[in-house]
Amino acid sequence: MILAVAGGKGGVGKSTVALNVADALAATVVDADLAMADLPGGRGPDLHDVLAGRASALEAVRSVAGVRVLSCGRTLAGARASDVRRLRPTLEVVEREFGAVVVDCPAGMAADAGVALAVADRVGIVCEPTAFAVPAAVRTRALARELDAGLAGVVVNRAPDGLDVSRFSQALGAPAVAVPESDAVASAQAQGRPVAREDPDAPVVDAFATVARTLADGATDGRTRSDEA
Amino acid sequence: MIDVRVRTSRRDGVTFATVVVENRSSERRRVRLAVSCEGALWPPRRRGVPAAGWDAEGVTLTVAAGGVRGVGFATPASTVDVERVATQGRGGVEPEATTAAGSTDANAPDVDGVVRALGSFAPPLAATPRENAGAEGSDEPVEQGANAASGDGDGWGA
Repeated sequence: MILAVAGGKGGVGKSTVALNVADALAATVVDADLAMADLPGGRGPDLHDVLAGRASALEAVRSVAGVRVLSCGRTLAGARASDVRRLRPTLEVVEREFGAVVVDCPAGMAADAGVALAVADRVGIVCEPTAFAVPAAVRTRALARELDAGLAGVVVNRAPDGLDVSRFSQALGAPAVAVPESDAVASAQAQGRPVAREDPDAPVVDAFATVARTLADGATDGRTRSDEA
Repeated sequence: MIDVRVRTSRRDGVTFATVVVENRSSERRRVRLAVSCEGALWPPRRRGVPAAGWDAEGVTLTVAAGGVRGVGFATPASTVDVERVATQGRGGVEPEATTAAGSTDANAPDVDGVVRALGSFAPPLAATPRENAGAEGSDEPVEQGANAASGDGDGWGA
């Protein structure tokens, strides 16, 4: 399984969702945000080196806080040297070696987001509960459909208590799961760690587990979480 | 039925080739041109990716009935040879044809096509620090400037 975590807008929490979902699924998370990486790094080769042909995909995978991470460099020169077309063999090798892969996609709709979606077999779209979020999510879904990545679910991130997510699942035709606003998530992410490792009793850990199950179930266009209950 | 005319010119150590393919038959034809030259073949590029139909050995293109198409490429080699290796029309493949291998494989969707259609994500050259141009994997942090320049509409939802 190669699961893309996408969302047209920046700052909605794609990286946070990707890291925590990968932890819940014991998957490898790949930071494909080539120009603005934000998953924890570390020393040694990174995705820029892999996409520039300077390192193999497997040697760039590291364990960070108990999660396998293929992080991305943070230099503009590294981004320019990357051939985004190499993302397909890279993700396929990582999947073959380690199993499930979660790809943290960049915002926007340029080639780096598109190639990740083209390689992924399913996509989870992250959005915030704002008026601008749904159109951006719809555009991302349109691109994902064009590229054969089925929409497995919508993650409504930083949702206020009691938010009804059914309008998100209706608008996007896929199950929607709310992840509540949480200080535990924010402080764990600041450390570059999944919240389940930092604060295993936080209520939000259950929400990420539900998100992980939903996205791992695969594309289920038209079915909502409440239909299942 | 298919005419291929090649014209070359050489400037500054680069050979520029212009190929005109004329289809004088009454049906649309797919034509495969194989380029042989002692050096790299530089196909036309769109957003940094070889234009549709091009691969390392040549180009596959479709020419309308009675139509003419032009393609061009460059190479550092001083001589080039362009040969029509396959032609495919509605009636099947003409005798000399083998497989008219396009640039896409069966593994859809085509990643090259995605890059061609969506465009580069890469920061502009002008934004890349000059002093680090030769230093691979320099550690200069870039998040701040990159975020400021991203303009991805983050502020709208606030």
